[in-house]
Amino acid sequence: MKLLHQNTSPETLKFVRVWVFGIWFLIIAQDPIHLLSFLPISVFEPVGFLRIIPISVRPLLIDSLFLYGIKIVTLISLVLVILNIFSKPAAVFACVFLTLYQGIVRGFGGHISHADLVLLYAAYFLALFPLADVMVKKGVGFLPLRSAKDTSIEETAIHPMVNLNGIPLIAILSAMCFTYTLVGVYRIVYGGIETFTSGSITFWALRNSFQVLHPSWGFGKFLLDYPLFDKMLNFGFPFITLFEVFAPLCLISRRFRYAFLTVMIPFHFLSWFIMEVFFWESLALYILFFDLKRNGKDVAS
Amino acid sequence: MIKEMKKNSIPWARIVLVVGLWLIALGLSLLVHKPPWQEMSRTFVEALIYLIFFILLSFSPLSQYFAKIPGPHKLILTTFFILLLVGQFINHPRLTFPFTSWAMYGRPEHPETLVFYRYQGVDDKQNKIDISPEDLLPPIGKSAVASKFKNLVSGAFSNEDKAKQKENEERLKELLLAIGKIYNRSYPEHPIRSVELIKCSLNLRDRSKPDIVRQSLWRVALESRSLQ
Repeated sequence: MKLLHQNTSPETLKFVRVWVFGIWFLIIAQDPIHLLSFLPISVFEPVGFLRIIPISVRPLLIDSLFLYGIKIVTLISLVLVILNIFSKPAAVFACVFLTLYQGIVRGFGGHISHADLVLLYAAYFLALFPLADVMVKKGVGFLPLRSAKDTSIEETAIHPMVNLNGIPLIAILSAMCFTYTLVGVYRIVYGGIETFTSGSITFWALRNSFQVLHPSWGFGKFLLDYPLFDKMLNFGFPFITLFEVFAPLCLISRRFRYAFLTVMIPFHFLSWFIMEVFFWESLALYILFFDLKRNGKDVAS
Repeated sequence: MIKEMKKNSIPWARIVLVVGLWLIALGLSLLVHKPPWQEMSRTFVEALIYLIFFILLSFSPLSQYFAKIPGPHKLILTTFFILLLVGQFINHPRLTFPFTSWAMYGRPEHPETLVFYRYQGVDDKQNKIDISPEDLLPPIGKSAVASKFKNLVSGAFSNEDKAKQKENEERLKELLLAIGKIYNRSYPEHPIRSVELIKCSLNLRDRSKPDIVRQSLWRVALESRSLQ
């Protein structure tokens, strides 16, 4: 049995690299991060590695000049990756600056948004695996790749040469699927049956809809007027959770993958309309649920 | 025949590796953050589910593929998934970013009253203008801005720790002031002189009358930064 993307071509890998870093370019280019400089440093709660930065230095992080600087440097790194100029170091730089950028932004939020985390992981994989490829080609590595020459015919049947182009794509898809599993398992273990029977999903939909100002948006408000929608939402919630838990099956089962897509794509749009939660960045990575190279023709080319 | 048996037998080496890596992830998470006892039992159950999950995966083509990839690639993937698990077990997203826990909408919430906040700017003629901090601060994200205000308001009104309450009050005032300044910068043709924080409550028990009760909590003047 072959995995999805196991036989990916270099063109497809390039396409995915441009896709991921291109999305990041669009996100950063239109993001008015300089507005954060208007906010008081007292509401900034550093996240992750930013916590080790001394309190006296933290105001620098939200200085408008610094924010403009980090934006420009990130954009330049992203352009270099997209244009394939010094792409390996540029991708690493882009990842470092994207993490810093996202860390600063999340330091001002009341909670850590997950919206573009999988896209960030995708960038990590696309930056790190080419470096690993270089290590393998130079023979560096504690478990070197077996070449066809030093492998017997029988062994080759069991351990054929690995297509290095496929590894980043399989890694991104695995990471994305596994994050769904984390969400589902956490909900079952920590929330238990009460999460599904208490009408919590109704409360979240109402809360998310009411706390935004736009009167025309936030369809969750209609749950009060139309109990049938409320019942449908509550009925669908455990099913969505089950699909989340078993998401990694998408990697090995085509049938499950199609079922997953049939359920999860509408789910993401419904959660946008009803709950004000839209992970479009994750949806953009849904292209990886499809075989980008079928019948010998490469979609990317 | 022996080869066939070997192929179909239980992949003990992979299972031992999975258990070893799982123990590393669990150990690391406990080393960084030790949760309270009742949480620890749940974390252990959660971790056990992932262990079973990964053991089952070791029988799948995914595991066979993983066995074949070169060492440096294995190292990247292993490190990534260990960090992802450590972040999940610790469940302190601010501490472990970018490897945060994926715990959204994970615990039941069904209060009788829904509380949310609205913001109004007041101009020279005492006209009130609706302000959306979520729209004024697009980099942070709508729900993250809303939860920031919610955290600060609940902190400013909690009676548990007076010092912390005072600190949250000051932070909330500073944030409201900043929102007013950003608004005036975005709409210079219609500037506001103060920002008002309004608490809105909606009774969810009696759904026949979903009237929102509005209560003005604070008004911060932009120039003198005085509280009214």
